[in-house]
Amino acid sequence: MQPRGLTAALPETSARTVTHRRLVSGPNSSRRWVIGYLFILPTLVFVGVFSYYPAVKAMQGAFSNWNGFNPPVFVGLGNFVQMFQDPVFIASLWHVLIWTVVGIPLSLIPPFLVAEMIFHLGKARSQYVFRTMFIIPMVLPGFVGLLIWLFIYQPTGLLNQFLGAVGLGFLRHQWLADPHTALGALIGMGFPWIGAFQLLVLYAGLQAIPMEILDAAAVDGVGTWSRIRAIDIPMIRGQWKLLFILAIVSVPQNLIAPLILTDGGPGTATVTPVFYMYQTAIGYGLYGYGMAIAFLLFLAMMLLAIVNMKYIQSQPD
Amino acid sequence: MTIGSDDDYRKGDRFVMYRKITLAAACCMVLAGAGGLVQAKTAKIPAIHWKGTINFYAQSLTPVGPGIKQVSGERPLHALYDLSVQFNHLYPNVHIHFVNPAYNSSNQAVIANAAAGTLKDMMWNQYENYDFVFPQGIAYNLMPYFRQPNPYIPGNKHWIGVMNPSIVKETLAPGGQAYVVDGDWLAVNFFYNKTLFKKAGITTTPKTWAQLLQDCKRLKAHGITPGADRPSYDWWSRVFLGNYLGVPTLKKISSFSKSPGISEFDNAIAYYKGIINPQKNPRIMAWWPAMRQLYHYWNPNTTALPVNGSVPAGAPTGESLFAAGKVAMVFQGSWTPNAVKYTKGHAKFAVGSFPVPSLTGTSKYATKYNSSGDAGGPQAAFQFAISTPQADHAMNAGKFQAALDFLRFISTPQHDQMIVNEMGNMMPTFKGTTPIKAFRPLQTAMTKPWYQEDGGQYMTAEEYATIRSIFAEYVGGHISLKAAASQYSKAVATGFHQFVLAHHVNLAKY
Amino acid sequence: MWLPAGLIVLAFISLYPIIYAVINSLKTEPQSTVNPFWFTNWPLQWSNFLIAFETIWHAFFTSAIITSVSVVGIIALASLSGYAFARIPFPAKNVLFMIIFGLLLVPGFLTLIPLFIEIKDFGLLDHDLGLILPYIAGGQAFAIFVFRSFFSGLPDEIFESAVMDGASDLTLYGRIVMPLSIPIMVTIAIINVVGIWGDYVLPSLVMNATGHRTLAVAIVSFEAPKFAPSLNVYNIELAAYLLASIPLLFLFSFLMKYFIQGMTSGSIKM
Repeated sequence: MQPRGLTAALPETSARTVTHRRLVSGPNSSRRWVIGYLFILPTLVFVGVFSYYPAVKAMQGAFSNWNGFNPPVFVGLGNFVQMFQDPVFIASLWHVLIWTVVGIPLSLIPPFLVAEMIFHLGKARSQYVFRTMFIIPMVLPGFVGLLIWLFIYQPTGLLNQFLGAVGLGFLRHQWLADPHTALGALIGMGFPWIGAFQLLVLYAGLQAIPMEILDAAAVDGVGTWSRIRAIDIPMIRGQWKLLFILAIVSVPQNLIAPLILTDGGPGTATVTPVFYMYQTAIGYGLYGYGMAIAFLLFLAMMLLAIVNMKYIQSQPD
Repeated sequence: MTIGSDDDYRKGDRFVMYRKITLAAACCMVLAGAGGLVQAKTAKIPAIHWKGTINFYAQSLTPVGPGIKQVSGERPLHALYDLSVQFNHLYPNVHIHFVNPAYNSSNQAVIANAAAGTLKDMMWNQYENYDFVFPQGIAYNLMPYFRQPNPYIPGNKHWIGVMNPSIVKETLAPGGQAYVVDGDWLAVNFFYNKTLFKKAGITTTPKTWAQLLQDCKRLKAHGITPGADRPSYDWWSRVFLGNYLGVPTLKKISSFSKSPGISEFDNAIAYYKGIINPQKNPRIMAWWPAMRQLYHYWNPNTTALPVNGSVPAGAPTGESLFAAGKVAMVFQGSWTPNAVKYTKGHAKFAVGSFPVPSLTGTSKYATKYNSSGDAGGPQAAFQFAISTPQADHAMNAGKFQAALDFLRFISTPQHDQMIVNEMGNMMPTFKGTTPIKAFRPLQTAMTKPWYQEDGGQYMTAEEYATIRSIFAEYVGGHISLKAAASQYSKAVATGFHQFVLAHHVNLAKY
Repeated sequence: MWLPAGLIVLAFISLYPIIYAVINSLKTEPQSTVNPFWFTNWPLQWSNFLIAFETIWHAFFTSAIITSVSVVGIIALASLSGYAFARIPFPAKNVLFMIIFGLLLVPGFLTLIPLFIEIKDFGLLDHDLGLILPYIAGGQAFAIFVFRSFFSGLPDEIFESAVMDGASDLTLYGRIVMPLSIPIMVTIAIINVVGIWGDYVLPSLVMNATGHRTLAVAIVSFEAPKFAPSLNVYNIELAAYLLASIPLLFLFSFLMKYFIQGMTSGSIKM
């Protein structure tokens, strides 16, 4: 797929990535590593005291029977054994798998298309205006947007009204109350799925593509779609990787949507591991069990992230 | 004992009362100064040697006062503040500080604060949370003090003697502990829009279930949405299960465990005896079709809301649609008339109310027992506990004594009535109290023997949430009765199995 | 021509939550039940904003202090670490980086109880630092991630002459890297400001029911208490959220240039 000639012609700077290790120029000193440690020391202190200490405390709960108040009772791997016999937890794994497989493309492709659209606007001024318009929604808390989706999905809501109006009345549904459609409705929420952060990162990538390449493609008469496929997508690989990793980290952590709109229901149709973790810990007072779920989720995501980074590192630029 | 029946005590004799109290306080101080124990005319007021401030989170009964502003649109409350001032007159060294009602009292926050030892000294929360959801040991067991005299009630021998006995029984934890003093009753009833009923030509409120459905049909034919709300398994299960099981069976269930009232112990035993097992007793789910028929007339957007968590802020609820004059009735808590009254921009209409009509004819299992009041209960605003030193590092023996005395001071029939009636959303429950005029017809619900049989609400929170959800799916038309029955059976079996294990219920004994 | 037209439609949909908030902040709850999507009934309830302002204006200052100190702390610490991770060789660097990165994977509410106990043990309840210190720690992972990527992308040539002159790492960091990093710092600052400004759960515990509270806590206070008769809270709450977002809008409009420059400098990638 990759147009070899074009990549080879790239100037050095645009191909440089974090993981592409180069000789770092800096002061030459045999004790420079001490400086390195000193630089990260404040971070390590803060992170150790206020992030890792509570996290480790919490993770101890994963191996105990704990209600959050009374001293934990050590149960070894009991919580983990229980987890894989728990049909709700197993169901939640399926849900998060579906959510991730559908949700990651949804969080990446629409912003990319919009980034392309903005990038190909003629005037710098209108590019600026549109970028701004897509960023401003960041100032409002997310639940306002969720509420609008509740109104859209309601039995007499906008979606059903729309389906009725275009003659698809037979498709009308109680989207969030029907176990067959609830998960899909939650995943589909947020149309047109244009995340401000993703949009700007991808747009930035497009801007960094050297003009000469685009000009050369134009001279060769490359069409828009072929150019996007052959030049734009591969040239912003660094941005794709970053957003992909962040999506792997954030999609499974999406708690707010099931919490506010469905409470995991109907039945267990929209229970995801992170929601189940919340429900068992907060709703049912089973902190130990909740933390065991968290622990497993943490390990799984960490593994994915490491594999992803390793894979990226082994890729030649 | 005579108790004034002013609906708004502040309107009438507030200043008279102040004067009386000041006088009494002065008396006490003179006597105290004279040495020896404080002797009032009729009661012995205990001495408090502890000095300091008690922090009291009174939730919706929080009065306005220094530092606490009234939230817009609400009616400002004064009763607890006035009582705290009176208490301070009696004990100048003891101050009561009311915590801002915005205090985060979610389960998450209570558990976190308990773990850190930062709970408030006196706290509102649902007794069920103290009994079943929160870790044990975060609040004092008040039962020993229930058996002692309340010195602020003249001639009182046992504090428990002025409380409603069935409520005390209902609110006890499985081990017989009493974590809260429960002083009010939330009645649950149909509230209706008189204007809309008239518009549909309905002149009398329904007396039977068939009439209720008939009225719904009529309202709908006139283009009026008959009702709105989330499917409420909690309330309707009590109404129907109580009626379908009938008093002899309810009595039998309540007698399984030593503690009176229907506790989760009783339910567990009843379940294993087959009485409330949906697979063995056809009564247990026989009422679901009747509810499906009723909810068929309800606003579909509200019946589709999630039933376990809270309603997403801003989503139309039964109450908001009712206040807007857009639905003809709601089956709701007794706060509804005030909720309409104090909602800005509410529609102009008169609010009427009627009890759950006769269930005769809803299925062949309907009995004569009138369970219409059983949906309501003591799960309301006057439920106060005292935190233990383990959960509240500022607590100690001396402070506990002072807090206990303040709790005794406000938990007298006279003060219960004053506090609860001022808000006007619930009924006071202490013996000899009278609710506000509007609620007097509902008072029988808590004075007659009542049974909260919900089929097992606290076996595990998890399985109960599942049952609520199955009920909502069934009445919403998403699953068949057969599918619902099989899921329900599975959930209730798991729930009671875990309950029996967790609480070491010896089934062989019964 | 279809390009701007399509973008306008998409931008409108994306901006719609704000429009929705404006519409409903000017209604009573009964008015909202008519049609929440548009102005369908009158009069507009400007008083919602007045009530909202009265309740939250104290909290503006508390939130402003907490947010700005936290963000400065995040940037100061994370940029130092980012520099070290990007440009100084030292043993166990990748492991340490993964340890910090791993924090992005820990759901916040699970560490809530131990963190809360810790804050209390430090004696920081009801104190701004009780929030600032955890926020500084919490912001490290993402900020370091971005700084590291930006600093590694800086061309070596700009360092060379300074290194020849014997500049230390601190000099390189302060004299060369920092001045070049303003856009990226603004970007990280804005992303963190948005998160801290709207955070609810930790502040609701650390500054629970005292006069001293953050914006989100003040706004949610409209919802309490449960048994009190009033339904108007939601509309006032929306008005309060809009008021609370005004400082962010100002900040955005002043810093938008840097923000977009930072995001689009091509350095946020792997």
